[in-house]
Amino acid sequence: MKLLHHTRRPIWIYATVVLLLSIPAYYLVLRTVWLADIDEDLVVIKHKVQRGIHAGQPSEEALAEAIRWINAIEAGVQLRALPPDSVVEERFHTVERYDDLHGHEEPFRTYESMIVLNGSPYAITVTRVIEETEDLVTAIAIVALVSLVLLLGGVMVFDHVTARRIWAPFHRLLDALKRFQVDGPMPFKATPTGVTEFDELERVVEQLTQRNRTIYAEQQRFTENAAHELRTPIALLQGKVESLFQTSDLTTEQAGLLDEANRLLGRMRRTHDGLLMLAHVDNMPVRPDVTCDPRAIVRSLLDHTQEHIASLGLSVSFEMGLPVQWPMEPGMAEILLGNLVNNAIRHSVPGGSIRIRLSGTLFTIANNGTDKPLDPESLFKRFSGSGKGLGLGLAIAQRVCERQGWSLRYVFEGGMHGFSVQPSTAG
Amino acid sequence: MDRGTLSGVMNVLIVEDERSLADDMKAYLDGSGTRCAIAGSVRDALDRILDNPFDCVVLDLNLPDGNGLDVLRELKRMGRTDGVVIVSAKDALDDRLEGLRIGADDYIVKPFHLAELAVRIQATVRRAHFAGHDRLHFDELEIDLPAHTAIVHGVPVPLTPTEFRLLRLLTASRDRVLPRSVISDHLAGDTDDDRAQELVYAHMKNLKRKLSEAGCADRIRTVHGVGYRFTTQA
Repeated sequence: MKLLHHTRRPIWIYATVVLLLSIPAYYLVLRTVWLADIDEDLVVIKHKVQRGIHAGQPSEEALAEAIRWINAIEAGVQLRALPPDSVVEERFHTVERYDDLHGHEEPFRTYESMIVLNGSPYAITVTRVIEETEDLVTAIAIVALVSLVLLLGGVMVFDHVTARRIWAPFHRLLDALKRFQVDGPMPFKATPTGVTEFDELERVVEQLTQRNRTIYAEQQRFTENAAHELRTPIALLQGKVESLFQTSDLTTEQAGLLDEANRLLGRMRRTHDGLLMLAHVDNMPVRPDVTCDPRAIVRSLLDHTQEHIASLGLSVSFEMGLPVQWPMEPGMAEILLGNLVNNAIRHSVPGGSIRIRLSGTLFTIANNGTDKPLDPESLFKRFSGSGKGLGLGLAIAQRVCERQGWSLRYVFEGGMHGFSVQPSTAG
Repeated sequence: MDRGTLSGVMNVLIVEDERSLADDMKAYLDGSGTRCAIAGSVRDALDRILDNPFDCVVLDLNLPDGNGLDVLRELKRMGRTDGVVIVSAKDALDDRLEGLRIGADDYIVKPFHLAELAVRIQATVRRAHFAGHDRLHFDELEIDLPAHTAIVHGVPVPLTPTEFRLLRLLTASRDRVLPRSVISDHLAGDTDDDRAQELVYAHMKNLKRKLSEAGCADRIRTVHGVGYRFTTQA
């Protein structure tokens, strides 16, 4: 979940709850106020009727006549004589009733009370259609609701736009860091954002990457110098040993010792070369824009090792599939495939077979060797070989894949030890 | 005699600032028709190539007063055809490509076996001097380098590619002791595969058998506990 969502979610939830609660609350409050208003009116009408009749001081007959008239015109006031000493509780209520005027059921607000006319109690019912008022309340509630939704929505939109603007430098920095390569040609450069926090972050990142670049360059220089300084004495030593071989009075014992020294020198040279190769792989820039043809590389590797393979009595099959390009620098691909091919040759049993396959971009190489599967954990570690080699080949191959973001897997299937290289589409 | 149609002595200039290594190279290559001179700096090398042509210049790149490639450039500028084998302690691909682009014939990385250097020099010189008609003669044995065949008493002996490479390595270091480890490195590449050394024995046995069946003198001698030696005097 994005950081923005973390801050927005509680706000959204709160706003929605308030909005949902406010709709009935708004309606109820408005309706209550309106009804109270109407009820007040009804009471006023009652008082007007009472006062009006009092003012006329009518006779009993005139009063009866007036009440008959009032009831007959159905103007919302009904009077009914009550037995003496009756008491009527005041009460307001709403009823649904057929209305002649509108021709359908309408809600009516009714006020029931009692008045005393000429000393006699009368029940009075004041009634009023409240349909229009209901409509009004609804309309007002809707307008209020729409405003509220607009307000809230507006706030969200503005918040989103502002957040995007504010976070833009962050995303820019993230992109720059993704592209950053410690051995790349371009160092990371801080760009002013106008936001104090981001400016500081950019500055810190710039310093950090600059330091990394410096350390990396120094390491590379050291490796190269060390490689050169080691090669020369090894070369001198080898020259001496090989010159000693040419001396005429060499005894068998001395020759044996020299031969051993020569082999050790060879091992030293190969270890040195292997370590240097690892350093090289680290040094080689990853260039996703460069491609190579793995089929051609494998073919040339097999050409070079042909005699060695033949002399070991190995049978090699190469299913090369359709033409394909790998998004990898050819030098890197040669190192990767070369180490895998050499590894397969070294560990195959005499008269065994090596199967190489390219299907799509997937490369697999398998050889029959020991019957048991190997430990995939230690397989790729440096100097963890079976004693047959230096144990650097697979480490180098894996490093190439790591640098490229590809995967190199070990599979043991049908008695065959296999390695598969799956190039990632991203390069 | 063993230098075939190439008359006289093969002159090699070793441009190498490590005097001790240069001496070992000279000691190994000298004799059997090869004569080596040593130059320890770019200036020294330029002086020597001005004096006389060489069949091959073995050129170290890291010299105290400059880059060995300058010597190569000077040779090319003068239109010289001296063969050039670059030797460097740096295996940076750029250097190698640059050297080959300017016109070096071969490239060998320190540390190397002296026998390997000898075979590279031989190949370079022979390629330069005998386009297509290049045979080594050792009395009854002839070796046709471009055709990859051995001929004994005028009759071709069928050899496998590995056996032929063995023979070529042996003759490039004729009258020198070739340790088995050096031979296996040459055949199988610089490998740490122990089986490669056993294979040297098998291939050598086959080569000796084929040559002797064809009537060749016993020229490939086993040096006990070490390896083999190809002798020019049967």
